[in-house]
Amino acid sequence: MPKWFTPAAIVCGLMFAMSPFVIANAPYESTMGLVQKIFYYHMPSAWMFLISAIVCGVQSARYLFGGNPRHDRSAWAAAELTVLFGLLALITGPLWARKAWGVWWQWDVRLTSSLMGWMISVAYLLLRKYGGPGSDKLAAGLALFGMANVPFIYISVNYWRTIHPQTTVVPTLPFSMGFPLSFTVSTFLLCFILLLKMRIRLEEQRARIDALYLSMDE
Amino acid sequence: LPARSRWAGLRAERQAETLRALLLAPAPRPAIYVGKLLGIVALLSRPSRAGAARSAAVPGAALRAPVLAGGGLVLGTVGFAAVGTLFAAMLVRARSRDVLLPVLLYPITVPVIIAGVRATAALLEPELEVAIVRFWMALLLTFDVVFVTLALWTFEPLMTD
Repeated sequence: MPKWFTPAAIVCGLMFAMSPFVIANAPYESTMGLVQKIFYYHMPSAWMFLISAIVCGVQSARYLFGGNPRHDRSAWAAAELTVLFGLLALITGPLWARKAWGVWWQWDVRLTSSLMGWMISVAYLLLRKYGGPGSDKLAAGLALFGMANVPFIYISVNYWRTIHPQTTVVPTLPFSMGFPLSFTVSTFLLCFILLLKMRIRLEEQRARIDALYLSMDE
Repeated sequence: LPARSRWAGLRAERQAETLRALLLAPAPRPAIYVGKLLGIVALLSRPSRAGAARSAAVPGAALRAPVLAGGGLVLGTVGFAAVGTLFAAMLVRARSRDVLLPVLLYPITVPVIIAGVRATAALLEPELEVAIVRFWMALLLTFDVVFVTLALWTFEPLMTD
């Protein structure tokens, strides 16, 4: 592991431990009250979900056209993180929606497209697990379609009548709410980088062991 | 249905080794993809036309803009077939392909299905709102362009091995 990994992991742990206190100190939103504070975990999860889908797509494209297994390993790691952060976003979103909108789920364009994006990443993992030989390239092709879905998820709230808040909400937040949001986004981003690095490292070790077994057999 | 029919065709091609022969032909791979795409679009156009005619025959749901309806039909068919053709061709060598095909295809084609259904519903409304129909058809066209471009771009590396 690189030298920066352990200090960064400690910082990430401390930031996660501090985040409930930072969020607790943020002011209550006038209409939604306490439940709005789920937003400080929901939005970073959703952003990491989209970022990891982009990383997966870019690395898949590089693998598909370059053939370097390193890119494939990072695409696989990013796909797993897409599932993880997507699941977090899809759990925290309904918790907020139940209080704010009165329903757990609404089949509006943002929620539906996010669910479809998450299902594509689950399909990626299923293909990797059960697709057999050659599934790495097939999954890379699928990841490109998953990445194409990301801009649609992001801009959907601005073009459709939906009850989900628009993307213009975040830049208008006052500092008292913007700071906790920036803090949790930084925490989640650091967590994403660390998990990605760790998962790529694990796959590299597996590849080395496989190469050793192959050389022993020969 | 298009995926299944395309899949059945590709499986037969694989068993008869004609897919390999096709890939060995001195033709660009994207051209092979376009040929297969046109084949499935032609195959689907007949049931699509029949379905549209039946929808128009429902009492109180007269089709007021046949040109727009025809355009929507073509765009929806192309969008669905573009992904179905690529994924069926991709999975022809994969293990558990019968299970994996719908798992992969469903989340990707849902936006096309939704846009097609909403455009058709708007066309069948008593008060025709052309702006709404055009909006959903523009979305369909966007998906078609994205899907066909991605499929043309990836068909060669995906079918190389």
